[in-house]
Formats: sequence, structure tokens, C-alpha cells
Amino acid sequence: MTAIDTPTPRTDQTDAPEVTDAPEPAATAADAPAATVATGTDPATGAPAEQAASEASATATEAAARRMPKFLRPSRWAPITVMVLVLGVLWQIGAEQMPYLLPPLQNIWSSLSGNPLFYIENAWITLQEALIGLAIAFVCSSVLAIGISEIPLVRRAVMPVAVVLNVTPLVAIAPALVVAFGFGPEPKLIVTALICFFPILINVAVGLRSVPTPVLQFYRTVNASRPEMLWHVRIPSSLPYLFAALKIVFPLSIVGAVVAEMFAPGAAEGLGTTISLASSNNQLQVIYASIFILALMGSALLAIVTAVERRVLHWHDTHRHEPE
Amino acid sequence: MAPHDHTAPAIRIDGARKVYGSGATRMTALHDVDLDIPAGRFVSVIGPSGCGKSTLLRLIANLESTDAGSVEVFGESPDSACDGKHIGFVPQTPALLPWLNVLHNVTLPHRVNRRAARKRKAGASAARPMPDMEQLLRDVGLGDAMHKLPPELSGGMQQRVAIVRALGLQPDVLLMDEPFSALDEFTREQLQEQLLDLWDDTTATVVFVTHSVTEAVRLSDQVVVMAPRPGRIVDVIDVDLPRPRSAELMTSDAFHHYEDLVRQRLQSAWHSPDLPAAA
Repeated sequence: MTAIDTPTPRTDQTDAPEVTDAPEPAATAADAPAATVATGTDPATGAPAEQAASEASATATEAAARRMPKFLRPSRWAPITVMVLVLGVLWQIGAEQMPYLLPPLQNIWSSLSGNPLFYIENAWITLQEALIGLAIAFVCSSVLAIGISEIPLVRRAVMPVAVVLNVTPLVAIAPALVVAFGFGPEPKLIVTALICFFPILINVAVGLRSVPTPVLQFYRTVNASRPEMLWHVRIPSSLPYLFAALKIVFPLSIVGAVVAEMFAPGAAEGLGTTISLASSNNQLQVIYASIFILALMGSALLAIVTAVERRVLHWHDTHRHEPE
Repeated sequence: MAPHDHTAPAIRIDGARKVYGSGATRMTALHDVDLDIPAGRFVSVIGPSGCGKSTLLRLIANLESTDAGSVEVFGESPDSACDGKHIGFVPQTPALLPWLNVLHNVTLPHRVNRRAARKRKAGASAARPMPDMEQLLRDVGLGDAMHKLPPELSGGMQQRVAIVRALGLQPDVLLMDEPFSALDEFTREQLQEQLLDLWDDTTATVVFVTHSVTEAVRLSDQVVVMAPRPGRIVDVIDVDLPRPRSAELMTSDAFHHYEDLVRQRLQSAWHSPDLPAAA
């Protein structure tokens, strides 16, 4: 493992689109060698003639060359590699010039490799808080979104409030929740659930109402009931909107968990707690190691959502004609 | 209820009025319209935009309700006609569900509102087996497209799916709202022929809204000519041409005679003075 990977935490925002590409190349990478092995062994069992075998291997390499995955082409991997290298070099220069601003990459690496279990345990706690909070938000907001979509009175009452709360920085509620709920897992789950709640609510509520008028008209002429409309027409129509929300909310859930941990350190653990403790002890390398892991977790979650989205929304415009 | 009582009209519109907006923006889309459509006939409604032809169709389809007057479909209200799945609707755009393949798109209407099927079976005269949707799709040349998603099909194919979806309900009344207006001339003529073939095998009464004179004359037994401001019926022209109506017929003198007749009525409707604002 080279140290050049470590600057990723600094660029977690700009990296996001690149990360979304990850699942596809990974899948093709697993495919390609398996296929070559299969064509290589086949002639050995079936054809005794040497010539046939060499012919077969020739076509196999040709085929392999033809179906070389896109991510193996230099035009694909070169730009990001150069970018990461440049950032790594800049980081090291910065660390040498200003030791109180940035820790050298090797210090971060030794902190990570010196006590991996410590980081894994804390990361697991943070991840749990994030995902449980997100699950709570998902269930509550989906139910309310259906209520909003089906009952105009509820829509007119709830939507304006939801829109305002969606732009309110709800992480700021963390200190208040610590006062109310103490240092247990509750304030973390509540903060995470709260900041995930409104993006899902608004997107799903809009998605459920996104059915084109002629479609609604047709199903009205066969008197489809409201539950039938919801199940067969509205919910599938809302899926693209739901996934758009999930791509925002999965990484956001980690933000919620970390911020809540920072305000309620002490009894509870997690990477947020680790960061705030390390900060009071001037352990810059621990802070950046934690941030690096957080960035990795966020990227992994985003990659998973994107992969699931591709499977579920294969029919949707955005996935049917992918450029390249 | 007697859907096949041929003595009564399939659709009876009596003094139907529809007004949109109020005050300065008040617009009378339909001004006391009367129209009887006999069962089993193919009727086109033609007129310039704003004449209320689509509004008329939406009243029959129970997508809107009258401000005055009444609309009856086989003696029932449009609402209960819809509830019994007696109405097949083909909108201007295909309105297919993009995540369902063609076959599932045309069978979904059978799976919603199942009460209607039971109700139909109870009424002996209305009891009919559900058609073989796969065969129906093959009949219109969509056999290969059956398992494709709608966005993978051309506009003409999508509209064919929409027609099969509506006819698959075996409706007593087929309502079509400018279904071919977004298609190119060639595709449009193909679909007209296919529609006539399909309709031959049914007993459905068709109300077909269009703004094409040729299309109206080719398809219809009767052409209803409407005028705007306020929306009203100015003439009903019987088209007495033999069926089946092939493409050759469209070049005949008789065909041109009816085209000219409809055009002339449209012209005079356009130049006729606006009625005084509806009271």
C-alpha cells in the first residue's frame, strides 16, 4: 500500500462522482480473467492437437484485447492517478512546511496500521448509528410521504414545514439533544434520522406525484382504486426520486452520526468521539486517519446505492443510454 | 343496464355545458351540446382547437363532469360505466408505464378494479371471456416487442400498444383523443388501417377526436363538426362509404366529396359569428 492513497479524505467531495463508477469496473474486472481461464482450459480437455490449442489461445487473447474493460485504458485511469499523486506531493510539502496544519502521510499510515482494531471498532459503531438512524428516517418519511401524496390537506400542512426544515442545518440540534437524552446512542440516532428525514420525504412526496396526466387519466377510466394506483403506478414512478434522495442521504447519515458523537463524547465511542478526543490531545494523525476512514465509508455507501439503483432503475432514462 | 340494447343510443349527451374559469377569463368550452351516438358506430369529432372536442370526450370518459346537462353511456352515468370497465380510453400520448414490458402494460388494466369483471360476469349479457392479450399483440405486429420496455419502441408502436391496452378491456365504448396526431403521415395511415381491422372484430362504439379531415372521413360512419367560442356542434355528417376502407378508397371521388363537405362545414363554422356570451 502506498501513501498516495491517503489524501482522499481531503477530496472526499470532489471524489464522489468517480466513486460512483466503481461498481461497474469492479464487476468487469472479475469477469475478464474468469473468461480467459475458461477459454484456455477448454481446448486442453476437448482438442488434443497442439495447433488447435494455440489457435484457441490466440483467439482468446484477441477476444480479451477486444473486450478490455474501459477502466484499463489509460485515458480512464491516468487522470485520476496523476491527480492523486499531485495531491499527495502537495500534502507532503504542506506537512513539512507547517507541521501543525497537516501530519505527514507516513504518520497517518503508521497510526492506522499500528492499531487497526481501534479504528475498525470505532468505525463500526459510527456506521451502525448512521445506518440505524437512516433506516428510522426512511420508514417514517416514506409513510408520511404517502400520506402527503394521498391527502391534499396533509400535503398543504406538512410540505411547507418540510421544505423549511430541509434547508435548516439540523445537525445544530445535536447539543440540545445531548442535554435532553444524555450520552447514550439516542441523540446520535435522532440527529442522523432527522437530517436524513426531510430529503427523503420531499423527494418521495414529489416522486409519488410525478405520474404523467395521461397515465392517471387512463387508469381513472378503468376506476383503479387509490391503493392500486399507489402500488402499480405511483410507487414505481417515485423510485428515481427515492434513489436521488438516497444518494444524498447515505453519505449524510455518516455526517449526522459523527457530529452527534462530537457533541456527546465520553461514555459513547465512534469515530466522531475519536476525532474530538484526538483534537484535545493534538494527535493530528489520528484525526486524519479517522477522516480517511469516514471518507471511505461514505464512498462505499454511495457506491452500494448507485449499484442497487442501476439494477432497480434499469428502465429509467438515466440508465438506458449511458454515455460511453 | 342493457349494453347491447340497440334501440337506445350508446352515448346520449343532453344539454351538456362546461365552463372554465370565471369573470374575464371565463371560457365556455361546451355550450349546451346535444348528441346521440348509436351503438356500434364509429364517430369522429372534428373542429379547430378550443372547440371543446376534447372536453366532450373527457365528459364521456368521466375525467370531467358537466356544469349543466347530462351524459349517459348505455343509460348509465360515465362514473358507473368506468367502474364496470365499459370504457376503453386511448389518450393523445401512449401513456405506458416505462418499467413494465409491453405485455404487462396491456394486462395491468385487467388486474386493477377486479370488481368490474365480477360485475360483468353477473350480468349475463355482458359476460365475455378476457381476450388472449398475447394473440392480440401478435395480431397488430407486436409479437416480437411483447417483452420489450416501452421506451425501446417507436412512437407508432407505443401507440399501438395503447390501442391494444384499451381494446383488451373489450369495452363497449372506445374513446380516442387524437391518438395519431404525434405520428408521421405514413405511420398514421398504417395505424388507421390497423384500428379499422381491430374494430371490425368488436361491437364497440368509437368516439374519435381528431383534427385531420382525411382521418375523420376514412375512419368514421359519422363526422361531428364543432366550432369554438363557445364550443358547439355545427353539423353531423353521415359518411356513406363502403367498408372495409382500403387505402385505394382514399383516392376515389366519393371520398373527396366527403372530405370537401367536412372542410366546407369547418370553414363556415370558423367564419360564423360568435354566439353571444353564454348565459
